[in-house]
Amino acid sequence: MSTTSPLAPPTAQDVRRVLEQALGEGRLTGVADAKPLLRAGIITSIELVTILLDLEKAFACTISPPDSSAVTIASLTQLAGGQAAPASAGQVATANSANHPVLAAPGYRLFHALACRPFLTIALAVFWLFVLDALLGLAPQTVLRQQYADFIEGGKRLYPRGSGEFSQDDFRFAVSQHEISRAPDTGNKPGNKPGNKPGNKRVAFFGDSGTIGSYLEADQALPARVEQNLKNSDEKWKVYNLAWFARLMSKDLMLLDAVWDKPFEVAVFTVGDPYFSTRNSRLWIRDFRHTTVNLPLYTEFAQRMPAPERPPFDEIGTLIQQSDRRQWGALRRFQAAHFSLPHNQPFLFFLTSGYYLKPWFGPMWQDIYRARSERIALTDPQQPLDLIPRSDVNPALVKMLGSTIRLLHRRGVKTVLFVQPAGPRERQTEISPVNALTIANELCRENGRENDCTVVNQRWSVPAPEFLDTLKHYTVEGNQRLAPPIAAAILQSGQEGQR
Amino acid sequence: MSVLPLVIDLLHAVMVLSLSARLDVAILFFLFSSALVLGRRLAPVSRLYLTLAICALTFVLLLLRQTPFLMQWGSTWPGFAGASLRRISQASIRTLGLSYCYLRVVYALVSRTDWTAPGFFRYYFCAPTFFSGPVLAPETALRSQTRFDKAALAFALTRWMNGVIRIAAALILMRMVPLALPGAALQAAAWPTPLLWIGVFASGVWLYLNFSGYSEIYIGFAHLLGVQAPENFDNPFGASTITGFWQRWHISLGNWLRAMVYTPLSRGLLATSTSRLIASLLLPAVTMLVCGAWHAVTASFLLWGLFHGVGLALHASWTQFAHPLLSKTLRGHFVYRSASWTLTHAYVALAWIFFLPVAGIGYADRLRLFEKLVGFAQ
Repeated sequence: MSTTSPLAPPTAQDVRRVLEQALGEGRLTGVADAKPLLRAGIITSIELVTILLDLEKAFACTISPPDSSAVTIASLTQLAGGQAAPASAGQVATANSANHPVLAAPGYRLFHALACRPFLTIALAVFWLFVLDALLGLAPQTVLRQQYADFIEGGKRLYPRGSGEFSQDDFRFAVSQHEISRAPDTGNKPGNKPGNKPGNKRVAFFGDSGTIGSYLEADQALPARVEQNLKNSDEKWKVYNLAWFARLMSKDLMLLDAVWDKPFEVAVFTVGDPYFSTRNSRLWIRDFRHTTVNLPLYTEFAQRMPAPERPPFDEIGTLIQQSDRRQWGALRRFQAAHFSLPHNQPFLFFLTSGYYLKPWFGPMWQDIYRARSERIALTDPQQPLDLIPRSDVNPALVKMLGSTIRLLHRRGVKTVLFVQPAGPRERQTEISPVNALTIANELCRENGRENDCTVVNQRWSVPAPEFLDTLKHYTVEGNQRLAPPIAAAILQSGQEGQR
Repeated sequence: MSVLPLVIDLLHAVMVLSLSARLDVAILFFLFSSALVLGRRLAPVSRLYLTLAICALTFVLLLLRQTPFLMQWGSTWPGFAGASLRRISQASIRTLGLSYCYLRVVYALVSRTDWTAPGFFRYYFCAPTFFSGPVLAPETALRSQTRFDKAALAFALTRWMNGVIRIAAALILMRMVPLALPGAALQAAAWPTPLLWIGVFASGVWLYLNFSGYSEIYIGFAHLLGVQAPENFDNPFGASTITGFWQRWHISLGNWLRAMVYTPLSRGLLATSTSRLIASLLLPAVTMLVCGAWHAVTASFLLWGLFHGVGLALHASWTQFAHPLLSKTLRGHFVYRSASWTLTHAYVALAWIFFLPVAGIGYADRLRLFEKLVGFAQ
């Protein structure tokens, strides 16, 4: 700030005298000229203004206040003498960056020493990052084995804790941690040839966040409930929960490819209107990383198709590729292939929030637990139903489903299509005409007829109190209601397989 | 005249505008500000022009920030004005950094009358500090000279490393404190009171780590581009008085408030027959109200500002009346300083209730938390 003074420049003694008069005798005794008056609490802000007014009067000048850290007797002398305002503490000595006063502070000294040797620092940082990453990769198998087993729930789900907080994006890695990877390889090891052995009763259950059992324990999820029902007929049944959030067929095909060489005899696909929607698939593929970062799985799966059936797969594949480029998919895959951190970051977060600092993460866990008690379908205003207009149906997605069922059929794997709830049973009447077949159901019935698979229509099976925090998630009771018909369909498909 | 500084200034503007959510709004605000600042050279009655210019600028800022009270009040206006305000309130016109632009333009209007278009362009678009400070005084920006040398790079790297570590710590702390995320803030009402006190204090630490971390990065970036940006924080949790706290917290904003609000008002008051005591009680409250309003014109922010203003006024009175009665030895005693520190930071922590999180919880929820902390509610 500038000042103007027509008189001879005052000395520090002159200024001190004016200050003493304004503040009272003795207030400035022993105060050095360079001591910051405001910062040290020697004067208050209002006293500063009084001083400025007195100085202006005494030396016939106009003074603007300097920054708080720069109010000293020396700086006031300069200002009263018509010189430019001195810079604040942060701005002095900047001509030479190496001598900046901030660098003398304890928190900065080490950083500055490192910054002066940037190449060495970078080399050291990279080295230690590699070491830490390697240690991080070893920890879940060694010192943190127990916590890791707890984190992945013994491999019962691909997407542990079902709340969205603990997800990594790599399907192959998720499958490698899943119980299906430990399943005894007694049959259907598909050397591209059906190889079911009688007696094997394994089901791969694909789906979305509702199928995962979001906000529920792994044993309360729909696949676990279906397994419970199947075990009433035979203890040997095993149902693998291979669900991952997003109502996307391409995502399920990626997961199917990731478990392609794992043994199972029945595949259950969760489907609903959004699975066939052009708009929905574009939106999800564009927005969610896990729907694109697994692009190689999708490409691999498309290659398994006979050439005449590939065009619909290519159409969706192009969409995924575009989104993958936008989301730096290649870089993410490189990270996943060469470093432990991308895979173990959710585990680290779980370790912090779920073990070591659990009390501090209370609000987050309370939020997760609270979702269990929510009943969104009973609230007002009502949530919109997840329905699509017929014009939004993407024929490519319909064809993909048919091709996949036929491919599995050729491998000896039976398919069950589970048409998921669209909303509370009480709101069925909102669909016009009443009781009309819905799009997903129609498409699945067509697919079922053409491709010899069983369709379980549960579109309006769940009443309003059995939805959780969204119309996509169900309570334990909801899952108990949905499970028996699916189990019956699996049993039926199994019998057909035996025939 | 060398072309290089001009090119660098243009690069600053391109950098800033490319990050603006609404390019049209950012450019229009700049053009409006330029007209006000450059128009001052032509204004015959400088003081009246200055007042009108600051009022107009404030009105436009409130408009562009879709200030609720203005939108509600304005929507009742008849004719074109009311219809325009209704349209503005429904449009998506928010863009980054307007609040800081406002501070710079007021600085520019008040501090000098001899602005040239290139000079103001350079000051306005100074990229490293454009979006969230530190608030530069005009001289600082105009003195800047881009240079790349090893020492400047080392300085910038030092600040960046410090900044990144602070931001990382803030990210870790964010999930633990009650006032960083809206969901957590609502649940914090159920916390036991002692834990809530710790949580609210930790929320202030979180904000400090986050904001000072970004400031470190901006200051490093500015230094690399030859701009000597002022420090924004100086260990505010080391302050043992509320006045000390404000001399160490968001320093550049504090300096702006002192230069643009506090000093002119106190000069005016002291020039009249108003006593120094009244001025020292009234002015901190007014200044801090302006500070709250600058963040947003909502009941919560205004209350936050007023709360701090009252604290500053109380401290000024304490300094004026109680200090002379206490011996220097007592004031320097560990117990006195500890009590002073605890009182200061408890007061600051209480005020955070009205400040954080910026969105997500209502005024009533904040009051409930406040009542619980001060013991009026269980």
